[in-house]
Amino acid sequence: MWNYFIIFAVVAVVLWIIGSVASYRQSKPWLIYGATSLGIAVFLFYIILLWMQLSRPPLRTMGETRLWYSLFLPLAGMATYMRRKYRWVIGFGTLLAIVFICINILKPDIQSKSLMPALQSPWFAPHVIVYMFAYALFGVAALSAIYIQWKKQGDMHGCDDLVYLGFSFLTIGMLFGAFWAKEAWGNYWAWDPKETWAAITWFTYLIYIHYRQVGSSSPRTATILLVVAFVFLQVCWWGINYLPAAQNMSMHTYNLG
Amino acid sequence: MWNKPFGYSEYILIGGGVTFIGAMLQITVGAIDWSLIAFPANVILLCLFVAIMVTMHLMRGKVYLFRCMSESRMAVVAIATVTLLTFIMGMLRQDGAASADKFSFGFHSMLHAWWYVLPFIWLTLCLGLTALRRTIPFHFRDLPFMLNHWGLFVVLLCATLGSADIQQLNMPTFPGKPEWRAVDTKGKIHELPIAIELQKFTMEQYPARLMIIDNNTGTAQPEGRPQTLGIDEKLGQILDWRIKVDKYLEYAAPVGINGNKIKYVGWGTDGATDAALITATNVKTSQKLQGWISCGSYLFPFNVMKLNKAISLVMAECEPKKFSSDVKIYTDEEKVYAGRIEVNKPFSVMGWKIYQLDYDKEKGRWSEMSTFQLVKDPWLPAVYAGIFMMLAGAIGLFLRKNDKKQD
Repeated sequence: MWNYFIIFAVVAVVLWIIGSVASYRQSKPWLIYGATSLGIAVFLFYIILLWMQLSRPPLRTMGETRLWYSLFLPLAGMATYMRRKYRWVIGFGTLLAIVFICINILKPDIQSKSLMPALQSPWFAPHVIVYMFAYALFGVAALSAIYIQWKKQGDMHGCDDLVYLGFSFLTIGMLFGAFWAKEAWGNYWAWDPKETWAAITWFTYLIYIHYRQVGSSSPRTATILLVVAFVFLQVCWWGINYLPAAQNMSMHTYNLG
Repeated sequence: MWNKPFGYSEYILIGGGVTFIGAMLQITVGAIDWSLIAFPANVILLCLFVAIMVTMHLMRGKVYLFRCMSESRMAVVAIATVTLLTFIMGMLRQDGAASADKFSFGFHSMLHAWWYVLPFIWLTLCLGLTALRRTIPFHFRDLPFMLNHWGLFVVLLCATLGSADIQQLNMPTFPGKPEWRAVDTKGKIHELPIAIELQKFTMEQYPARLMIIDNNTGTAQPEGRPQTLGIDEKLGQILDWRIKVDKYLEYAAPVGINGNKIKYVGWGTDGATDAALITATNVKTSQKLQGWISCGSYLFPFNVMKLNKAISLVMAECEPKKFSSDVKIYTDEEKVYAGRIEVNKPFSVMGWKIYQLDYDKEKGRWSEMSTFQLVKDPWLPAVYAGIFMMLAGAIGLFLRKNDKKQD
């Protein structure tokens, strides 16, 4: 199934690019939403096929989580476009999705059907999918904020929307993780390195939210906060595997094999 | 400086001050020993904390500092301080209580360090005061705000204070021998009001996987991106070798050693291993080999198929799919429960949650030992109440009315 990935990915990416160009040129809405949605459907279809072939949710390896991330990015872009009509936002979602699709093509993880007992839980799929959706929203938020600062046009309200939505998903993902950890490991929170970094990420977005409540907040500082938070998020997601302090310390190591 | 209204610089000084006081406490008093706040001390501390918080709330008209503590800028600085400290924690290896030396500064055991815990207490106080301010007078439209803030407040406070009351014990059991003693993390033995008798330990495994390894180094091939073939796939190719599974025995023993040839037959008792009869054909040279391979068990050695001087076909050790223990649990109230405990499905009895933790790894599916972890956390319902409030609050955030600036 993994061998067919490139076909589905190319079709989806072409459709997303059509959607992005159409929205940038402010073309007909049916073309923007139609092409983007169709691309999402094609990509989702591939994930479902992979799920069926593996007989388990494709959420275990890093490569598998990247699939969901690439799926949600254009979705986050389209949702923001619907609300704020930023003509570049679907393009950003697509751009970031292409980056992660390329990583998957260059570095596919070994796909094995096995799922260790600790991951066999009803919490597995919701915990990871909700997290991936939050990550996608934050990715689009960071790129949008940088673009707004660079072009000196538009306001940060679109970023606020994305962060609020992303933060509610991030919180839900974290709390689902707590319920699951209690059932699987006996503790709802154990300051495992992955959990510590999840806390750092969660707190940093919390700083952004509170900072934006202050009347005199500067968009520049807000943008820096979003970029820093996004870097922390990447550390939490995969960078932690390279952090010396976290070597052999984490219980969240299912994704390495 | 210190002109009213306070700005970020004053708040940052307050945040730095709190951390500094924590550092001073660490140097003078030493690392925090959480066991000192075990029940009833934690309940007293909880009452004290709430009393101080309510007093501060009531005096907010008179004392400017108390009023500031529920301000957005203060929240930004308080969260940023805690984030920065947690970032340090994320960058440094944490060794837990073991390295919480009374005289160390606590970089490697930050959960026991005053300079980490004190800013958290300060954040919790600010959080509580903010929540109080928005709760009185009560407006229904502030409900998501209250759920978010009170939820986190309850979680932070109860998880911290309750941590001293958590009991976490390990208990190894053997079939037919009821066990009521368990060991804590410090190696101390505890006698419990419940006894567990292991009836049967069962393990299901995933079908065996075949792979090619380098004869000298033992690394899986192709190096860096190893390929494996599931035995249930029956036919496949790794490198230049087409591999066909002629026969697969899930429970087998080696017999009929004839020169170098080993044969496997079905054998259903303790120590049986997985074995498969394989035909390997080199697609380039058409060279054909047939033989048995096995991953071995604690009783029988493994068996590989040498393809040539450089590489061999091997069967990797089967991964466990599911392991569980059928148990009988006796309580000192003379009640008997029967049940099955498996990973992700703990058993609850008399306030204890019993988890499937481990088994005899050497013996794998033939293990006669099953280790359970027993956890008692009396504060869990309070923490869960906070978590549910946060979940409801997160949904409230999701549905938030747009663009309404709140201060």
